[in-house]
Order: sequence, then structure tokens, then C-alpha cells
Amino acid sequence: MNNNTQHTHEDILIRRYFKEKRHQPRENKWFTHRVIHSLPRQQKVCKPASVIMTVVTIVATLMCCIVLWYASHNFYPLHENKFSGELLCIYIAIMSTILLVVQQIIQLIKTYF
Amino acid sequence: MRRIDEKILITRVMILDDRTAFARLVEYHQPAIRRFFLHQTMGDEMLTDDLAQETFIKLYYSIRQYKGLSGLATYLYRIAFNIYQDHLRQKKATDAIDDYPHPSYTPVNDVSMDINQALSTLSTHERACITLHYIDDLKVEEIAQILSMPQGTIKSHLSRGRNKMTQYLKNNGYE
Repeated sequence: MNNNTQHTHEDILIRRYFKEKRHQPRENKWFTHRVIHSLPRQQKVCKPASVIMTVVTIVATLMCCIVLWYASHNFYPLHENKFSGELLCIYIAIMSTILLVVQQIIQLIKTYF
Repeated sequence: MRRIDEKILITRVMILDDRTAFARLVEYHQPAIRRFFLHQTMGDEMLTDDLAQETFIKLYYSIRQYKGLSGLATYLYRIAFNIYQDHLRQKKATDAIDDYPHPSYTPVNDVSMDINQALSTLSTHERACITLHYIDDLKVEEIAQILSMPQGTIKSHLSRGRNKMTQYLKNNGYE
């Protein structure tokens, strides 16, 4: 108990001392400016991987559009489950889109964790 | 700054590399970090600004590793303390004779000289613990996170630092 009282007294003494005497940094309006200018240049995103991914995404989207357009104009009875070039195109387009979405999700997860 | 605003700014820096958001974070946290260094270097303003700048640059590079488990201020103090320790190591390597820390500046007035003398009685760890606890009002758990030490060790540093400070204050007529 006595020890605690002494402890508290010392705490108050030190706190009071620091409140009176502590350093306050001088205002330096250039500090933030200096820090920002020391950072590496902001890159215009043009990494090979992202360029390839963009091209693949555009191609896959176009493929999807063409296949859908073709399917809507030449209705194909999917329930007959016959193998054909059109059906293969649809499968490829759907698979590409799914893979791209998964890839984007993985990239987002990597960014956060 | 509200915690949610800070999170938004951090996310913008992480994902979009938004420099305006980063500048706002720097602007908000720089007084505390500069004050921390000012006490560690015992008033050397030029060194303080250099080390603080290095801290924020390191924050920029490591912000994607920040998981938000502690506040950004705690994370920043941690970077700052590591940078200060690296600085001491370099200083020791290049200047074996000079027993750091000795401020390489001209004191502004007696008041700053007085607090610098008081702080110079403490070791690096004691000084960090004492200033974080008494000036920045951080809890023992937070100081333990910043210094990457067990809470018991922090309490020991605080206790030893407190005794030295009390002794110094008593010897100089502060009661």
C-alpha cells in the first residue's frame, strides 16, 4: 500500500514534469511535402502481366459476346447434349470467364493479406 | 481523424497508391512521430526530421503488410523505434569513441537543456518506455507491441526509468 502511494506520487511528479518541459516539434509545413517527394514515382500501371490479363479479358469478353449472339440467332437445343463446335465455344467462353474472375479474386486477396 | 476515415485512407493507399491519402496520413501522424524522435534524440531537430521522414517512407513500402490489428499510430511507433535502433547501430559502428546519445545541436533554452539532461540519464529502452508512457500516454500493452518485448520487461524498464527520473528530479529540486 505504502509502496503504491509512493509509486503514484512518483508518477504524478514525472507526469507534471513532462507536461511542463516536454519538447514540442516546431511546425514544419514542408515535412509532408518532403516525404511525398521522397516516394518512388507513381507508376502508370503497365506491367506485362496486367497487360496480358487485360488482353485476355477483352478477348474472352468478345468471345462470350460472339457466342451468345450466335446462340441467340441460331438456337441450339442444349438438352440434346450433342457434342458440337458451338457447344465447345460456349464451354470455353464460360470457363475463361470463370478463370478470369477467380484470378481477379486471388489478386484482390493477395493485395489485402 | 476517425478510425474509419483512417481505414479508408489506408485502403486507398494500399489499392490505388493514392498519394493524397498518404499525405493526409502523414500530416495527421507526423507531430506525434516527430515528438517521439525529438525525445529519443534529445532535441536534435534535424536528425528528428530525417528519422521521421525515413519512418513514413518505410510505412509507405510496408503498408500492405499492415493488417489493422493495432492502430496505425502503434504500427508507426514500431517502425520509428526500429529506425531509431538502426540509427544507433550505425552511429555506434561509425563512431565507436563517442558514447551516443550526445545531442549535436545547440540547445534553444535552459528548459530544453533541462529535459535533455533528464532524458540522458536513461538508457535507450528506458527512454522509449518513459516517453511513450508519460508523454504519449500509451499503455504497457501498447508499448510492449511497439518495442516487441514482453509486458514484464516493459514494466521493468518503466520502473527503472521512473526511479532514475525521480532521483534526477529530486536532485534538481523538483518536488
